[in-house]
Amino acid sequence: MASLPLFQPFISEGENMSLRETIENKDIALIDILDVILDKGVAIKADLVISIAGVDLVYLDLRLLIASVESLVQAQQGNRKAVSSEQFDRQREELIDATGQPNKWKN
Amino acid sequence: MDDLVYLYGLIPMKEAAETSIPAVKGFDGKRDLYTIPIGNITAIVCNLDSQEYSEESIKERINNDMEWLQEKAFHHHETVMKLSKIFTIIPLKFCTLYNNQGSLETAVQTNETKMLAAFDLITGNEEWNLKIYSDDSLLKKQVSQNNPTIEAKRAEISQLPKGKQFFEKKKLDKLVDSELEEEKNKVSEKIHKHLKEFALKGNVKKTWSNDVTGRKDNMTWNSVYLISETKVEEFLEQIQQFEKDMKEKGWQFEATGPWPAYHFSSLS
Repeated sequence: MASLPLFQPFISEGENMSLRETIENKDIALIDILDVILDKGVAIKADLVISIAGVDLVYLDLRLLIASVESLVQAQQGNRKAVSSEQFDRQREELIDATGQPNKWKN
Repeated sequence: MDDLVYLYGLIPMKEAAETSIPAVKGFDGKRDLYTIPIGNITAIVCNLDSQEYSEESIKERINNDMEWLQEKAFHHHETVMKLSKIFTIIPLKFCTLYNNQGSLETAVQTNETKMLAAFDLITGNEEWNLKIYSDDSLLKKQVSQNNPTIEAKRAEISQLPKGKQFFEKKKLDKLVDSELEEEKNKVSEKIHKHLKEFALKGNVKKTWSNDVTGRKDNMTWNSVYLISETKVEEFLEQIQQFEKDMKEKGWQFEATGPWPAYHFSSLS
């Protein structure tokens, strides 16, 4: 865990990559992030834990969700400085796909 | 009034002494993350204005400001993810806030033994998530063709007068649905059991509906594993094999990781 490089050097795609590397570099869907961070996570006694663990993700309106992901991507393309992790750069851009087709939600 | 303290994660003091944390902006996008040493443990935190981030205002935004929630959830996770590449980290739940540094210190001191045990557990191991999706219309066909209970019922119905057939067919559909669910669970449980042999721990999580995943196929299984770094490749090969064998039958396997050990740093 502690020995991993922050950024993967460029590896030619294909045979040289282990499964682990391939998956690690793959884009993660928003649902996977929410599944972990909203549903689970270590809780220790805090003065305020704003617990949204009980929130069912169903209540997260997908249209809003996609809109906000889109604006995240746009904000990011406009200002690369705000970005802190290469992996998540790619993920954010992929999120629109991962959460469904935005067109589907147009009224 | 004092600033609130937002806690992202806890790392062993030794690691904090060897490597400094990367420069990352905190939850408010303005102030930097910093560390607070508390005995053998180092807390990674940022400060937040207590007026702007009061419990009421955060709850209000979580309930009514989707964009805000998305952005902050991303921020939390992205930050913890980045830290987990450098340190052994106990990741904290979204929006864990202390009124001041003193109350954070007390909380960490009270739980020190458990935290050190959690470090031991996660060192050298990785958290991986597996979600299994299924194309139920495809599976339904297979189930209704190869299931003796259903076949018998179908034969029985064909002998009935037309009017009765309609209702009996409805009932049969229900039977197919429940047989399908049972079959899906049986298959997934078997896979889970097999995968657990390559892991130190494996937990089953709840599945999410299509409204949430935005996918056409259904989430049938959702589980997390704590795996020794040396066994991860082998573990993933198993999943790849399942995928190869079952893809055409309507099964999809989505493995993600390595994640910060959200599910395996439990302090309770």
